[in-house]
Amino acid sequence: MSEVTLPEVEQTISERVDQLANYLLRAGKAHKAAILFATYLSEFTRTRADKKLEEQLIDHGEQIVHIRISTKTDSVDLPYYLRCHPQKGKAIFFIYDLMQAGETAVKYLNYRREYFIEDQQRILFWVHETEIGKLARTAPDFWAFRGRTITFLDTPTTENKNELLSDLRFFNYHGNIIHDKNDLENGIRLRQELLAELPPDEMNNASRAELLYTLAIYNDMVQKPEQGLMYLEQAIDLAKPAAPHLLPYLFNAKGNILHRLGQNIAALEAYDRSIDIAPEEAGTHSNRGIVLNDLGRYDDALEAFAWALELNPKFANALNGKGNTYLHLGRYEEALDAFNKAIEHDATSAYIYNNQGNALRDMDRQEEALAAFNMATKLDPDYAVPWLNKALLAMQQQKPDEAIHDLTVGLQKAPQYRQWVATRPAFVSLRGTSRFKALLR
Amino acid sequence: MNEQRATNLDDVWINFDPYTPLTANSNFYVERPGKPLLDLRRALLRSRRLSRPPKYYLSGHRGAGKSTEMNRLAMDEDIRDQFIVIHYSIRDFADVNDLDQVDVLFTIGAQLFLQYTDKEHGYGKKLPKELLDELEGMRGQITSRLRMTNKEISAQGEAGLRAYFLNVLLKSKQEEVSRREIRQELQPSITDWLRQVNLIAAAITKQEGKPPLVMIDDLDKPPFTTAKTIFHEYATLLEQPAFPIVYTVPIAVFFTREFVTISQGRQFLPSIKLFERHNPNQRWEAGFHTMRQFALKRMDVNLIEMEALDEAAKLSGGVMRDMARLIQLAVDHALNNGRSKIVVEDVVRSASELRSDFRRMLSGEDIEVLRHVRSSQELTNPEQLAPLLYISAAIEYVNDESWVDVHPIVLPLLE
Repeated sequence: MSEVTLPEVEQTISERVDQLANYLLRAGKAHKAAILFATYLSEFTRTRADKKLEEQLIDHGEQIVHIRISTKTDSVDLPYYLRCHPQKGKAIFFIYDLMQAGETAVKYLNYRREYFIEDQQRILFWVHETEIGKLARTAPDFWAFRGRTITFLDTPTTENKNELLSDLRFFNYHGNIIHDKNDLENGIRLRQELLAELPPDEMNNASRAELLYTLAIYNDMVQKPEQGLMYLEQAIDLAKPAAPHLLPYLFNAKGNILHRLGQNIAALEAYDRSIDIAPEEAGTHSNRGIVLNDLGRYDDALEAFAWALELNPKFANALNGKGNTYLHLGRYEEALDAFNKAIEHDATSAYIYNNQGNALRDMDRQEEALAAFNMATKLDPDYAVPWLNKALLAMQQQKPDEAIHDLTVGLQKAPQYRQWVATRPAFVSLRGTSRFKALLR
Repeated sequence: MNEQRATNLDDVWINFDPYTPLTANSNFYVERPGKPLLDLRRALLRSRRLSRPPKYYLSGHRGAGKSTEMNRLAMDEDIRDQFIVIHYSIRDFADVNDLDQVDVLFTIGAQLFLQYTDKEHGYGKKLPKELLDELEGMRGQITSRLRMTNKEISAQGEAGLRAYFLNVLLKSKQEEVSRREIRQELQPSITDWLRQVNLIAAAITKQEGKPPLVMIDDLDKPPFTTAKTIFHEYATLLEQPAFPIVYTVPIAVFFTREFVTISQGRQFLPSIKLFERHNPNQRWEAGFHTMRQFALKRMDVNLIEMEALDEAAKLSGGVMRDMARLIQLAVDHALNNGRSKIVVEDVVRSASELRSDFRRMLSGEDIEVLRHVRSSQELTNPEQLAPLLYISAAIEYVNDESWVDVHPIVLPLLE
């Protein structure tokens, strides 16, 4: 048998990304499954390729879902997990951490590989180059179903890494608007991996500080505020000499986390540090106002919100905060006016509608209050508080059955409010009922 | 599936989907040289004359076309003339991740009952009342053990038994706890269950004047250790049903010494031979012709250079799925290079991509074993070779004799 040989062709990352994109798009057009592998050595290269591919696919109208396989979640049985996924057969799934999830995850792939084909799933597995051989041997049936394996084995130099970081540090970062825990975990892992690969060199300090900043915020959002605080302290130390422009944001974030931890005085100090450096940041003034409100320093809080609104009169968060302070002061008309203005500038916030409902209820405008609470539940179906407020309203309206229903929904979403419900005087008349008791059990 | 011969490369890409086995009447089907399953077909047709209904164990490489051939055999007119064919994939009714001999035997009985009585997808026939009464006993034990209380299951007669079998199969497939409970219930009385299975088969035979033939696909998918337990330790149990059965088994089963019991029923679907044994430059034209046919039934001849087609055939090692994958990848290369026809370079680049996959899988020790295989082409150390056959780095061929060779894509890695 004579062998035809061809010279090796060096392909750019973009060319290889094109290959993956073409395959996935072609499979989508033909309503066929696509099981692809992309292997890599450096997280920098992987992230760069991942980002390019995602952008390219989104340009073609595709939707991307990122999934990190974990033994702690249903994703460990990926074929079944994707079969039940609302985006089944529609989105393109980028899968990570397959081999970290261990033998169980791999077994499921081997034995349920047909699910992917039957459901016309388009899946890209990002697998470290050192792990792909093991995967092939432990899951040969699944491996036999692969479409293509594209390699991204380029190892960037330190200069390259910094260059790449300027592109990647805010990749997958959406400030504080992410709700999906999987997305947050993905963001955390990505940043940890990039940090681990970044050599401890002074020239990298600015990049490191930026990564630590977003890493801290994500940790806070997954209910790990202490971890977040630790990353922020590291970021502040690095940013002082290397990236002073970052300091106001870092101190502001530190204030937010300290507030979440109940350390309001320390939070105020952090906001003050931030304002000293960047007095023009409306967000920091507004955050400071929220803490002052919690401390019962209502006049100072109103002053802080006034600063924020002078810098940005359309700032919904500041208007919402101002409304809350007025509520505490019993100045309902002014509170309602502030909430209404906040909604004019941001009609998507469930929190503002909930507060608007509170003001209306306190003003005994019950139907309008109910409409506001309903709007809040519609805007954020996971948000429990408007359900509890609806229950209070129902009690005011002498509708105990409705109150029980609303409490049931609210406590299902946030069981930590049981104690609050148990001790609330508004629900005294329900306490003897078996349904109420069952709710609190 | 729309099985039109492709007239452009985009459609070629679709037609060379390596994932899905062909249906029995597919336009894309290609008859293999020597019709390797003819032996099995002949043996099955003769089996009615045997005093002991035979069991056959079909193996073959991944992607060699086992499921396609099983689909065709199940629809073969002569076979259907002689048997009530009960054909299913074990994947649909059990968890291959966690499978044992009890699960296999339970699915056989359940599928006999369900497919024979199913009006929509099966034969839509009735079974005698005495048999239904007989089956009620076992039903009672399992339904109470699994605490199954739904209305349909409580119904008497055939409808109740149908609901019962469907529910138990579903629970056994999806719920680990139920699976264990079913096994605990059936294991001690497995001979009773086998007696009931044989009663169902006897009733079918009496009513139809021909016995059932059960064909179970995808039994080659469980882990090798599981397959070893089922087909070695419980081989005699699998031989018990009083009707012919075709079991699929992992190829590596026959490369270990323990499988004496089932080796008599061995049936093998080999890869297609492309070169003569001991003479790697001597092409076997019949094999190349088959592989060309495989491609040209799916694509217009103008879409690929003949030289490229032969190169793909050669590099496929005669494994159908690898041929499909090579062509599909070659389409990608051709389109990326702005071509509307596949050329040799596209095929070679595809092979190179597949070779990288093998490079990741094979250890230095594996390479040594493969070098030996290449020079001897013999199964001198089957146990050492089994894992390499399992990942298709080595391929078994059968013509007048059995022999092995290294997958052509892997060959450059031996240098």
